[in-house]
Amino acid sequence: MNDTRVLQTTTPKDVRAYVARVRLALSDLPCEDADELTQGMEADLLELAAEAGGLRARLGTPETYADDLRAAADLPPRRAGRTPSQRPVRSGIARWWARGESLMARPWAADLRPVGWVLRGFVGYCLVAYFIGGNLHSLLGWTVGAALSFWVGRATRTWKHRRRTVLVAINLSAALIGIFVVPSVFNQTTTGPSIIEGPPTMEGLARNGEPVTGIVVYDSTGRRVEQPRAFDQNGSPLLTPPDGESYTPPVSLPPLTQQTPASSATAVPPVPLATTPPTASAPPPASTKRDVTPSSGSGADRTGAPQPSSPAAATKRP
Amino acid sequence: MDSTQLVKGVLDLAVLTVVSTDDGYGYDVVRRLRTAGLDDVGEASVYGTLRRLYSAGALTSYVVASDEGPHRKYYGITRTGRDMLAFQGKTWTAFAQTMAGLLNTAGVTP
Repeated sequence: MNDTRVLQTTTPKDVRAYVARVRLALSDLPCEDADELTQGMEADLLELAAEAGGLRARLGTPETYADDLRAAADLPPRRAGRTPSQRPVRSGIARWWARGESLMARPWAADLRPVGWVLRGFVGYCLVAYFIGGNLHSLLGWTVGAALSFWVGRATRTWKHRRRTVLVAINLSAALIGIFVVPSVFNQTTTGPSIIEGPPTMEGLARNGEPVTGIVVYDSTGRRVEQPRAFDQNGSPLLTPPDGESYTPPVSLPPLTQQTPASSATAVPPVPLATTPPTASAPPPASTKRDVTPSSGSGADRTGAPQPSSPAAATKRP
Repeated sequence: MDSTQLVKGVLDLAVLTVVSTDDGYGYDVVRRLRTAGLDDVGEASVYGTLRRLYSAGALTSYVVASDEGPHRKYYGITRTGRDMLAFQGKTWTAFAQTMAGLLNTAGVTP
């Protein structure tokens, strides 16, 4: 960063960058001290910049300002070390670190910290269970993990720079591995044996969970209706032909609500799927499965005409 | 004599006095001190002093959320702070009177 630059017009971004560098210059202090010194600084410096213009002209470089802060607050001077410009990579990382710290010093971030601890406990338990072996879905495990992490979070809140870096590194690694492990926890939850599965969704017509593979239709006089067609309330065919073709109902098809006294093959009355066929004159077929597919085996029983709505076709003549 | 040095010596007392009438955030305290005539007071000195007084238990702090910009941090005086203010105030007044008397013997009057 260009230290010699004097900011004439100071934008909120400039102020944030300035605060981040002050934080960086205070980074050897315990986190609590640095937080205490820099919390609210952004708002104050924005106000100052609005009144006085350039921050650097008024306060000097962020590093000088940080040194003044330390001196006035009776905090120890900065630890001797190489200046940031002599270690570009390290200072780059440190700058990002300082930005993160400055973000974490915001009040909302501080409020969210315990939530993070609890989440870390959950992820931590999942990692342990995943790699060492154990029940990933143990409520007790989650609770113990969360409580332990909460305790660690409270205990390490005042940790100083080096130990804190290690802690953050561990947290970040856990978060990275957790991204891969935790989804598998949820996957197992949804497909695990402990969950009672509903019937698998099936295509086509079903009744009480069983696929309906054939329908035999009789009219009111007990006569078998050849090639009946059944449609639902939307006019869609109830049975799709096995070859996947969808059946287009003929134009002359009467509305479903209209009651036709004697049905024919083309005019389709509403089909009461649940009614039992009149057994006196037409016993229901013993087996229907064989005839659903318009294959060669069932061809002999049929009229021989093309049967676009073959799934609904009857199996045997009465 | 450099008044900056003098200000340093009484900054605790000055900050406590300002905050004792009304809670304030850092820059607000700076401004009130300057309005009162302490022109040489520096921002960093005031912020550092606020922090130090807070550590000593003389001040309390709270954050006021802002919908638009970053949050503000306010400082208010505590019971300890008021005791400190009363004690340091007396010390300062006695010192100032002593100095005024001394200067008076030499014919220097304000």
